[in-house]
Amino acid sequence: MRLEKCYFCSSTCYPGHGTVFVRNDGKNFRFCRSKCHKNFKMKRNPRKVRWTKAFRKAAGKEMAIDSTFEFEKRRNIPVRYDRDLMSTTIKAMKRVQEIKARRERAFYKQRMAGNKEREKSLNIREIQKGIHLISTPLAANKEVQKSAETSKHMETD
Amino acid sequence: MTRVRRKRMHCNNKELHRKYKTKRRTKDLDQVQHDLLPENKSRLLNQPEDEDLPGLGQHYCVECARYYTDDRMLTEHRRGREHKRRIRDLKAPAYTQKEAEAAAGLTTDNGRALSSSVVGPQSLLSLKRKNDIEAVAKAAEKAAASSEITAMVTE
Amino acid sequence: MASIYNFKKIAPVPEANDFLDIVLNKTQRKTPTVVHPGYKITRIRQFYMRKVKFTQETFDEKLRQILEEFPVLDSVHPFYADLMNVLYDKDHYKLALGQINTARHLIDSIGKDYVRLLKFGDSLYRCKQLKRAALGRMATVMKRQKDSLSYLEQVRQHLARLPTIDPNTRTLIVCGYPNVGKSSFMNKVTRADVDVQPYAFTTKSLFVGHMDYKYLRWQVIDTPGILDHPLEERNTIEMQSITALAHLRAAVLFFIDLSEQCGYTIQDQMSLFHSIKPLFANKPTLLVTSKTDVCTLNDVKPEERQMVEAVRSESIELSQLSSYHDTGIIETRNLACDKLLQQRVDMKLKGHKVSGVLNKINVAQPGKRDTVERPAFIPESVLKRRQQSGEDQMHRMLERDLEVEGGGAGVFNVDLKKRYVLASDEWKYDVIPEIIDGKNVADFIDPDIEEKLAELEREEEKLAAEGLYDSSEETTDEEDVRIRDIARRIRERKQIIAQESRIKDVNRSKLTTKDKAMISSTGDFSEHLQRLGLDPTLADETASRIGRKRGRSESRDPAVKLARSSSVAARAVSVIRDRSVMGLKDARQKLATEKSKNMSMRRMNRMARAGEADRAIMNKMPKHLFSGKRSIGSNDRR
Repeated sequence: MRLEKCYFCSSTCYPGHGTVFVRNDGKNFRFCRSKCHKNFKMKRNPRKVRWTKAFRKAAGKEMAIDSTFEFEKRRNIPVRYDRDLMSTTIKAMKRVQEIKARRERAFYKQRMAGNKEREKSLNIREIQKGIHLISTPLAANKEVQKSAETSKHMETD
Repeated sequence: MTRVRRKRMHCNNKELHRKYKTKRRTKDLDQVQHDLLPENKSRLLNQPEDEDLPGLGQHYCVECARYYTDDRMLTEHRRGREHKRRIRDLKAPAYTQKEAEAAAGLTTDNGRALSSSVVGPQSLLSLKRKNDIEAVAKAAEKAAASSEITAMVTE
Repeated sequence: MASIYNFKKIAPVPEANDFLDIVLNKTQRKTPTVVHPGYKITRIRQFYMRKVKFTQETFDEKLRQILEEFPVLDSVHPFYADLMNVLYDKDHYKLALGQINTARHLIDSIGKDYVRLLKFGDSLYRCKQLKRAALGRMATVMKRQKDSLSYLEQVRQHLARLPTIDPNTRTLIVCGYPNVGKSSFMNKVTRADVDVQPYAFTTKSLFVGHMDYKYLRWQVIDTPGILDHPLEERNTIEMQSITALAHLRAAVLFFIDLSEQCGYTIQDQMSLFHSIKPLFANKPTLLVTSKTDVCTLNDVKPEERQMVEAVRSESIELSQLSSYHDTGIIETRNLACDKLLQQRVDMKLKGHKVSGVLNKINVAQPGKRDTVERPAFIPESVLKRRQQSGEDQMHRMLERDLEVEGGGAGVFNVDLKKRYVLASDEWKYDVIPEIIDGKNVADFIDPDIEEKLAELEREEEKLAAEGLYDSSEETTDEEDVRIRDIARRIRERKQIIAQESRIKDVNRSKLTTKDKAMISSTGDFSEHLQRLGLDPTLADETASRIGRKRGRSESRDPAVKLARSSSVAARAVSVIRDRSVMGLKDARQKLATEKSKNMSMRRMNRMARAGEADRAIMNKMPKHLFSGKRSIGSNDRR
């Protein structure tokens, strides 16, 4: 029993879940859910559909190159069972997952780093352009005066 | 004869529903790419006459995997938007299960050169460094602009 | 060879009506059935042409099959040709097949003609009629073949029941007067079960039995009895024997009944023998005297005996047998077979092929190469084990024995793991996890995983040192919050404006009316002012002052009333004024006003555009009607 990857969105297909489509030339296509199957039937290209892993990886939305990826591999070399190796492997799996998750979080943070500044500048532009929509110049002036007075007050204090 | 409605019939469009059935699935891009190999292409272009196919199966567009009734229709199709889009699509290598697995972080390692030390967390670090430089640059800018902004905001 | 003369495989020939049903049914099943008058005429023509062509092809195929399957008299072995001539009459048979052939040609030409006509069909109706005519004519042609079809079916049935005689193998033919014991002999020699009765002409057709002699397969043909009269007077039953005798290269056993129990004298029998003797030319022949239990050659009169023995001079052997006592049967058979075999070998030796075969024959005998002994190889370990333990302990413990011990099949479970080759035997029965945390364990198994992990940890330390994981929480100050809040409010306002304008002007053609005032009522106006943060009281007052109600006499100020009444005198003389020129400067201005008045009074051209009174659905899919699951009931219940 193996966990397979969905052809369309690259998520994990657990045993007993999803659909396998066998094309008339004998090729298998595994889908995690009907959504993926439907999209496949509509002949969409997973590389161009924004919610698939293939797109996100290609567009740099997710970490694509990292040393944590070196652990999970299809190794087509049979290895004789070894209890010690198995226990270290299981421990390593947990640790690798941990590190990977941490790096992914860091990656996300880095990716989103400048966003706050950008948002703020956008907001300011919005205000500059559209302040008249929520208050008249008169009222705005009044408020400006009020704030100026208070600030003076505070200065004198 | 009555006019066939063309608008607002997406839900009960039989042809559309049939199109999306796996029962009558048309060729996928990878199959067409296989067809486009010279040996297969010549076979497809010189098919024996078949009564059940449009135009006895003599006018076939390999890229779009479609039969046309005559040469005129075929050339017309070749000039069209759909055909050109298809050719554009065919230029890229077809999407495979392998690619899907690679996107999920599962690749194959058959005991060739280990590249773990080579790869490293380079991308992550370079991203961080770039961000840091930008942040420093911005900080200076921000300091200059902040006074203006506060004046603006108070309005 | 033998398969060529197997007439059992001819397909049944249906009757004319069934034939039609079969063909038309097939046409209906295998060609498209739906056509509409709205289709392109070429398509309709194609549809009907396909039907006609298909029908014609099916007829052609079926008739051709009949023609091919029935044997052609000129090409089958002369024995069969003659036999069929005797049984079915050659002329009749040929005529029937010929008629079928002409019918086939006729149908072909009909099909071709009507396909040509259909090319000019100008409507569905016309095409359909042409198709009907074509099929109808084909049917008529077929119906005319009713007789030949039924005749061929009878022939087929008879042919299928004919014994399969191979004209080229080793054969014994048993012949003689009726009731002389031919069938009894046949029953004794072969495993055939031919009917034996004490009257003449029990056997009415040819029968075939098979036997083995000298490891060869022989066929024995039992023929019906023959009477002694000229060829022309012979009936069908006798003619069958004659054909067999004439055309098969075989050993002939001519039976005579010395006891005369058959009802014919020895003299009669001998004269028959002499009259059909030309048929035995070049064939090993045996004169068999049967029923020796009743009467032997020694018991008959001397002159008759002499007559019988006279045949010896013509190199014809004599033999005696009794089916009742089982004497002489095997001897007779062997004698006949040997003679035939001898003759066949002689014939072959005379031919050309024999030298080719003789050259190839070579019998090799392996001789000893040298004096070295080369015994079978037995491994050392086996020899040792043999020496150590006795014969009984050679038996190893097998899985089978384990199964018996463990409770037999169905109870015992084979232990597949016990022969695993692992570093430690304890591990054999370990339960190995396959999946952990959504990952395949097998993908992670790698002999040098530890080194890799160590490297990863080092990297991790490096990254931490670089400060990648520093949680620099960007604090949000009050200023930021305020900016965001204001921006949000502006965006919301923009959205509302957009929505309002969308409602006002949905993307459809609308009757353009005069520009409506942005703010239509005083209430709206004051609201607008309030929203902008201004005091609307002043504006309200002004508005109410301007929009004064029409005055009523009771409520009017009496002073004003008085003033009005005082002007009564001035108005006594009324001047008729032209209202159309009131307030206008000159004639030019008047002209302009008139023109614009006319323009405004002209009925507006609506150009089939939607007006205010037309139904407009603002929201085509209200959220509350189209969301959520629908397992039971309809949407409008929600």
